Amino acid sequence: MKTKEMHILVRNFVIELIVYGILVVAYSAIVFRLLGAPLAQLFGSNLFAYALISLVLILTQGVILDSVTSFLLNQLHLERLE
Amino acid sequence: MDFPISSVTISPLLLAGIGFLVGILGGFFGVGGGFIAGPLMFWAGVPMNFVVGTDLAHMTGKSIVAARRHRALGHVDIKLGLVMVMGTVLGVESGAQILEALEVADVADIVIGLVYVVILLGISAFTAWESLRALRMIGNDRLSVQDALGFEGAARRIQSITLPPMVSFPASGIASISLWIVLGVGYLTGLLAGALGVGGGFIRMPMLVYAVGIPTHVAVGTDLFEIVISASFGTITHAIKGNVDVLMALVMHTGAALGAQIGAVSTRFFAGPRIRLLFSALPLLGALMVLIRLLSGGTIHF
Repeated sequence: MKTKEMHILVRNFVIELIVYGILVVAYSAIVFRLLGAPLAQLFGSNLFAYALISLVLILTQGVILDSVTSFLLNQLHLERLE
Repeated sequence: MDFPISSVTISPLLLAGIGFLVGILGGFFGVGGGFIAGPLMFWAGVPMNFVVGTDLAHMTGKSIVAARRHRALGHVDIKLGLVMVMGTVLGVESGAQILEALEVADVADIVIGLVYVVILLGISAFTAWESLRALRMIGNDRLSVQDALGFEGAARRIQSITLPPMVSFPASGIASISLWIVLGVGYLTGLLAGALGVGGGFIRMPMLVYAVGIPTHVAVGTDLFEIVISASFGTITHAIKGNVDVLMALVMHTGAALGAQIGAVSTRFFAGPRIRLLFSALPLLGALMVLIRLLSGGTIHF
């Protein structure tokens, strides 16, 4: 592995880890506060609606987190190796 | 922290950490990573039925992003994916029904746990054998790194089966293959997805490469496309059966999203057979985690 590429890889990893760590802690707290009780109630009362909402939530989170990552990398002017 | 849906107390950081580790491994090896996430969740104390459903849900969020990227790169054979998905959906439903029956009989942990161990040990042994063989061939200058595939004879034999109807997949370089083989690959991997909570990539990707004869990069992309569909269907059917804790899945996915990027970047620095040789250690780790949980939880005792 070239030294420059390794340097970029490690730097991106550390910065992403820090930014992501902060975001994930905040996000998890918000999700639990806002969605925890309603989802648990729905799980107990209507499993079909719960199933659909679960799929929408996880797909939406997948796309949004990827967009957030790309946005962060662009804003921080980090070179992507992909 | 208490997760109210599954009534499991587990640290969200541990879940995010599992997601992160699985994301790295999945991104590096081009598979969903469910075969290692499942054992880790089970080891952490999540009941097997919630392991299966929740693992599928977290995988859905992760694979949608990877599949979109591979689609943009032209690495997804849509025709193959759509044909295979018919078998996959049937397999997922069969697997989910099997899991439900095992739950009713109160033997899900032991049966699914032992199936995990057997499959993981088999994959580990096969991948190690094949990659070592490929590396030896490269060492003898018999093959280039890109072409090194230690099991190509099987693909030729399978493609020579002429059970009608025959179909072609030009995007994958397959001139003619029996439809039943493609559906069979889909069904088998769907069955594993439905019963074990894995995307099936760890078995479908090798089968597409070794048995069907599809180029590795197309196999990875098409496999991810399949994982999105099978995991989405699995999430729905398992959630309806009460096996999905979506809060757990969301937390796991936050770690996985980061890990997947790190893993994908790392593949630039390793050749194909070396990646497969490294991969062979992972299923061993998964098998060990399941055995530890089965032994320490008293599910198996001597």
